[in-house]
Amino acid sequence: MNHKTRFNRRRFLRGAGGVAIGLPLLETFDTRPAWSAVAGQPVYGVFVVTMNGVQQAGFGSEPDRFWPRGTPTTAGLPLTRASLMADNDVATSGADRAIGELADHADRLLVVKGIKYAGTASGCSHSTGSNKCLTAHNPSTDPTGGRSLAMGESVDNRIGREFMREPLALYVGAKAGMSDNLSYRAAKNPRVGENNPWLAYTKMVGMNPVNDPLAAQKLATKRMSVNDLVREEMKELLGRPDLSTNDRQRLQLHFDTVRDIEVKITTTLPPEQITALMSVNTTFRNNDQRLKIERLHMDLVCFAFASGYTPVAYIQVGDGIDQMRYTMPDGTIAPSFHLVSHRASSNGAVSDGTMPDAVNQHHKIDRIRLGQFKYLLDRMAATTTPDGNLLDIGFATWTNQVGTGNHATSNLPWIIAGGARNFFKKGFVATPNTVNNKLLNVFINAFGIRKTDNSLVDDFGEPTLSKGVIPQLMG
Amino acid sequence: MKYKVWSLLIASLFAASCTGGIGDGGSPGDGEGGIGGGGLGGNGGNGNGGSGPGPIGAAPVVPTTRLARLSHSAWEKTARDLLKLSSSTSLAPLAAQLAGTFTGDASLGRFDNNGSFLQVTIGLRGDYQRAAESLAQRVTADPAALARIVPAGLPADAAGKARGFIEGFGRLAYRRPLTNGEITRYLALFNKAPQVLGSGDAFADGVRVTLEAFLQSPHFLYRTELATGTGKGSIALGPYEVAAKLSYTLADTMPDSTLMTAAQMGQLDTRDKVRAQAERLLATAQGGTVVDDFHGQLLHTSSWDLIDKKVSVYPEFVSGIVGDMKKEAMMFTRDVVLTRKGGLKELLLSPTTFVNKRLAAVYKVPGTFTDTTFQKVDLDPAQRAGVLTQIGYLSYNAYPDDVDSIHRGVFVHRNILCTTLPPPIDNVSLAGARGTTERERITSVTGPGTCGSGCHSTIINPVGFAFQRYDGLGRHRTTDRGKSVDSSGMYDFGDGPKAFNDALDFSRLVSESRTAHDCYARGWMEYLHARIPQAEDETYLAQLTERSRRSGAIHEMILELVTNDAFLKRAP
Repeated sequence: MNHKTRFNRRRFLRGAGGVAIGLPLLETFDTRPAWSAVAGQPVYGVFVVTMNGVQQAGFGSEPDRFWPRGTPTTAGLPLTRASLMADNDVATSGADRAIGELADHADRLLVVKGIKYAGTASGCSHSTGSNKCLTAHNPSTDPTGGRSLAMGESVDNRIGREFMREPLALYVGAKAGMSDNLSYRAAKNPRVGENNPWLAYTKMVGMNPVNDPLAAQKLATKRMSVNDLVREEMKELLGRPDLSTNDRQRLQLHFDTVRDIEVKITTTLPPEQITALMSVNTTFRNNDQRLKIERLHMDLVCFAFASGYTPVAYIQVGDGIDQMRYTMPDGTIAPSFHLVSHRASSNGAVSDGTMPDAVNQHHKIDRIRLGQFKYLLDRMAATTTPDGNLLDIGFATWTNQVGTGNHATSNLPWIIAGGARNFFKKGFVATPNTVNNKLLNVFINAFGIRKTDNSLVDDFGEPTLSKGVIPQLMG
Repeated sequence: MKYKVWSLLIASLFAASCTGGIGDGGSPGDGEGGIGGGGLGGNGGNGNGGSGPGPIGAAPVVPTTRLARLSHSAWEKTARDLLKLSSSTSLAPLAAQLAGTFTGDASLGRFDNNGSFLQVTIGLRGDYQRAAESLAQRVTADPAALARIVPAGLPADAAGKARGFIEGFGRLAYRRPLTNGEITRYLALFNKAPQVLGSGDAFADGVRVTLEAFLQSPHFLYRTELATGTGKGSIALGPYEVAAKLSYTLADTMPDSTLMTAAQMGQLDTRDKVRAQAERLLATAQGGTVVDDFHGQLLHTSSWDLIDKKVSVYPEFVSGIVGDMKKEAMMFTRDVVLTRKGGLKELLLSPTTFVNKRLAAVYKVPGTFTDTTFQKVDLDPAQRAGVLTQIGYLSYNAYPDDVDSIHRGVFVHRNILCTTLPPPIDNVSLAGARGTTERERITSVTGPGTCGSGCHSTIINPVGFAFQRYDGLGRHRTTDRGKSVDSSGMYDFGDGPKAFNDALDFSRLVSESRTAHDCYARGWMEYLHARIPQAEDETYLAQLTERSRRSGAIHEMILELVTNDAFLKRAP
């Protein structure tokens, strides 16, 4: 495998020393010396994944209040700010489509309908959906059900691996079973997302960021000496012929991190924003607090991209059966979102249709969630580089583990925003009606990653799935 | 409701084969060599369980990890004890603060301590680095803190002092003496430190940099089993490896000075001697954490923080009560296991528990209580018996405004009876549910004659319905929506259907069932051995189960599991 652009890990040490990047009050960040040192043109991508489906057609006789109106042709359905505003204009047209929340970014949107899962299921659709969403791999049979794990790596891992960078893994909400099932290093090896934005930030820059070049040099020298010793010890252990395969693999992973950890960004946030991060209360019962944390995570994604920490990130919003109690626009607090998504009263988390106004509440929650995504798009658009803003040179996606509240595995909501250096088509709706592995192949290719013969990557995910990409999404 | 698959894990009965003791696993001469060499001799055990009921059958030695990464909890306690942080008010909270920032581990097993699953990812590696740097800086910047970790009686000359520190501190950090090669390596780093840091205090600089290395070393971050043997059979762990394994298993931290001395003096070479150390550890405050943690994970108490109730329905659900539930469960299980030396039967049947003012209001216990002090009380034996009738389990497995019989049943099956339950099919609808009470409505759509009859009517629902006399918070009740509750049922534990009237009756049947004792013993083996039991373990587990069923004390089960061959030896 090769790629057009080698994401240069070492550039962090060469450039951008001590630069403070203001977020969310973003200006043009001055990392040109670092970026110009890169031979290619880096692309950035973030995957936002939500839970419990969206309110669209396919759940009983419910109407569609998610997608843009109109029937896409083979060439797609044009999407403009005006069309999305009309889709969102209850008073005039009667339309009430949640995606209208993104009208301001219509010309950057690529809305993909008709994506579905294929292959086997674990018996628990929440778990199956989370496991397949970014992997296109089957869930494990041992463990199975709600504890099942994906049987292959995820797309963020694949991309990060190509550029030798760890994906930025962020999580919004409490963790209670079925928590981290989106990102996988390999089969049955899930990545754990950080749900505290302050901790996520400190993991990027170190607990005590060093801005003084001399002090930074001393720190680097000290770390190198310590790491040399640790490396020697690990080599000795790895050299033992009597270790099991499992022990050797885990030790090798550890050994590799000793190499990777030497790369540290020296860019920091301004003090006032650090204070904001530190003051976060991770009490996820509180709706406002959770939304605030999600936005701070989104700020950190921009920071991670702007500082060159990593080219790829994901944000998981809620655990596998997100039980957040959202605050509705009128100030009332909805029941557990999982129950809302099933239209169920408290008497059993099943789709019994007994919860009053659940369909409307789900729609309103979709709007809240897309409003959050709009914040990310606003921030990425405001983060400028010499080559354009982060939506010009990168992209953001929004999706859900399942299609609807009753676990549809088809017509999964996928929204792509941003061109990724003109890789994606923009401003229209496509309906490829295909399996998600082909969409994940498209994302990999968007980063400039190619097969060794320089052809498009077309084989990500479960080997038994039909290979390919979705040409109509690519510019 | 219909399931695609249905299977029950019925406890297998295995013929007991009571042979052998601690020394039977290997060939003569095993246990030599390696860093931790000099361990249990191949035939050196006496096969005597000491003051306890004696060892049961030979425990097979199965392959498992030899590099068990410290859990975050163990890292915190080890850093605290190694650096003597508790002796300083300002440094005392540091280890916990740092461990609290660590990248979490994925939930991959029934318990979180399976050494084969714990790994060092790049995020965690960065966490370790930051923690090591922070600890080293804070400790060496504080003269009193630095003095506490420097071994006494070091030579006055700089070279001798440096070597003495490395040998003395390194022995604690690695939980064994350092090899000459390791000492040389650390000395080189120590001597380079003044050039790098240049604080003017060469010794403090050397300590700071070597501390960073010690705390990032794989020999610190992993509990290793590297002793080698020459025999064809199992290989005895070295004495320092035994000390570390025993300490981390029971106390979740590094070996204390008594254990390290015992290892040094060769006093961990028989099962009796190991048992004596285990008993000593269990009697300490730190040793009791093994009981807290095991039952906490069994009952999912870490998830109880998500318990949410409608105060309009349950006015007793006030701030702080979830923490009270967790504390009650911890105090109750510790009391049964360590104070009363009870067994699973006591856990399931004892009406004695611990309450404060908030809990007393739910249990309706008469008396004077405060929010901060827990008192040992006897609950009404006609209403409560054991952990399944305490409000933690009952409240966790319930909805904000109602009971949840299905999930109460599922929880007991999965965690108390080790039943392998397949997940329900998707999009099951309760539309059309009939009846007034929760039991009636559940039964109408999952009971006999429905698509869910295969699993629910005879397996899940009867178990869940046994708890009908407790509402969504766990308060005792006699009616549901104006009708008398029906908590009776019938369940087959593998030896024929048995009828029960309520949760007290049901708990008694559970406490007498081989299935529950098998599940409980299996859980302890998985937790204490930090691995999933294998097929080779079944004969041994059957004997352990039988002992538990015959009123076996839990603390004896713990001692048995940490003194058997499977614990004290490793596969080649």
